[in-house]
Amino acid sequence: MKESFKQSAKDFIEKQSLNDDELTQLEAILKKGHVIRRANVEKQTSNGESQGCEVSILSKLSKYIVSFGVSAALIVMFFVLPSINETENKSNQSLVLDIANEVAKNHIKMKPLEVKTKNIIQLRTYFTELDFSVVYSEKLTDLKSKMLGARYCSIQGVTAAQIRYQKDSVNKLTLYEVPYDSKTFGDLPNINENEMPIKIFARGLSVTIWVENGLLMATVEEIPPQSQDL
Amino acid sequence: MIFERKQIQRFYRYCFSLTGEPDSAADLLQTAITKWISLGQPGNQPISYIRRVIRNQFIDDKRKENSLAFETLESDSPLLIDENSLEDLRVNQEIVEFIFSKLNSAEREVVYFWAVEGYTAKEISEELNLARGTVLSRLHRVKQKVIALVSENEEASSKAQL
Repeated sequence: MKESFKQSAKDFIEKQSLNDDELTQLEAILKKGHVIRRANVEKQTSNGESQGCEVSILSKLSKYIVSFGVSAALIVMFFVLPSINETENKSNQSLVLDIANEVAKNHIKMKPLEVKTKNIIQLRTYFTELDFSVVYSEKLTDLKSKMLGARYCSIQGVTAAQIRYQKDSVNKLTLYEVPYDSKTFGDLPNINENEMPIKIFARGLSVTIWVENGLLMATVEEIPPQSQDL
Repeated sequence: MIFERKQIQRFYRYCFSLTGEPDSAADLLQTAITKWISLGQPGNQPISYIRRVIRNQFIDDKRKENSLAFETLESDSPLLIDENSLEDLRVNQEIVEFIFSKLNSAEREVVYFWAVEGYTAKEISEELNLARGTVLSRLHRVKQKVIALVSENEEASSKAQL
């Protein structure tokens, strides 16, 4: 008895299911995650409440604004606004640190290259599963001829390209490229707008992060010996 | 976020469509859910986001095995001209499992979205971030394989009857 392939395929796939034990195990993992998330949200809310207190102090200050208008405005400008910016900067900083830690960890592992080439066209041909085109970075023009190859990786759960260069006779440099989305990666400096890349250290390595041509780029390399001879 | 069992089973079936094998599908789902939690459970549309984590995890796992998650398509691969032509395909239910085993992960994935989720080629391309042509090409290959396998099966049964 023949049936439509669509219905038969649907029936066959829907016949596949996890058993009770497997479901219970997954539910436990999800529940644990839910509890952690709720705890984090509550923590953020309580932080918000303490910020609320600051706001009520501000409302008291507003009375002074009536009498000391200019001086209170200065207080707001110099003390309150920077603290709000500071909170935003902190969450941005933690995203930058997460990215730096992740790429540094990847660099340390030095997993085998999936494609060995010095040619960007060949790289593009290899990376068929990326939803962007890998590009040379203008920050690495000196290293163009020293490209060793590349492999897939992921940054913050987004599929990325990892391109390795032989920086000098001993050290290697890894360049990571992933489509830039400020919601996922935070606000990062865009070198196309003449902004300076972020330079930080993570896991004993030097990490540089910037945005170029719509891509988040990060390089990881050994810390030069001269900067350690202090 | 706590999902209902029905939704967890849907994630599992997507994993099964990628791996083609029940045990590795369960492993894939567990790894992906754990990863999603460790990322802070992001995504305004968690179902779609988790499917993306599952897919990326599948690609990662395949890489570790030094194999390709999704076969590369030739740029001139034929496309499925009429999407509705797939709806006309008819098969014996007994050979569906066999057909499924003959499809590769990319083909099983589009079959999952088309048959189970009821997506069109355009919707599949949006979900998977692929060009619509790539999806149509995969659906075309599915159609060709199904036709060939059904015909092989019919020949074999008629020989057996003689």
